[in-house]
Amino acid sequence: MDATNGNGASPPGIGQRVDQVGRDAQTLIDDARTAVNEIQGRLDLRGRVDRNPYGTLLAAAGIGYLLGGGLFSPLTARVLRLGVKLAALPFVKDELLAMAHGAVDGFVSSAREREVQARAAPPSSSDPHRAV
Amino acid sequence: METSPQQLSERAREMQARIAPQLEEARENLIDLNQRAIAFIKERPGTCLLGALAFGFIVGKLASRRW
Repeated sequence: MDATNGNGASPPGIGQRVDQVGRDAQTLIDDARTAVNEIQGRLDLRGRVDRNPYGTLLAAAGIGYLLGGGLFSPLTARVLRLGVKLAALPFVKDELLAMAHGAVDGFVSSAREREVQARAAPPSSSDPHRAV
Repeated sequence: METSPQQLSERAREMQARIAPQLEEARENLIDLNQRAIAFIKERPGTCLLGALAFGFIVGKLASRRW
């Protein structure tokens, strides 16, 4: 019996098949390399690292944290609360300083007023502290 | 033994003179360390980014765990 397929051509041998698989693998590797290069060019990772090394590392760590499932965790809530407090600190400080200024000003002006009144008022005869 | 304000200020000045060089040295060491760290990151960006990603992943995994 003749080892031909329907159209008369002989089927590829094992060597040809191995060659074909090798060529396909090479194409896949080339495609993957091109894709990686393209992604690297788009993201400009090297440029970002050159411009801001610590920021890029922090961003990478943040992405890893999210991928690790840390978004909805008590630690994230705690860090967010701390961040809100730190962000509100300057406003609170300004408010407290303004309140303290107001209190000190009020105390000083009332003391001055009392002093002026005490100087203006004549000593009365019914003053219990007055020596007889 | 009583300490006068002059003696106090003199002692403070002495302490400052003693500590100032150490502070300056510590500052220079920190600057040097920072420059070396930046150079290392710039030399091996892929490794550092992968390391940071892995570090964040591990911290996220630990944080998402129920204790």
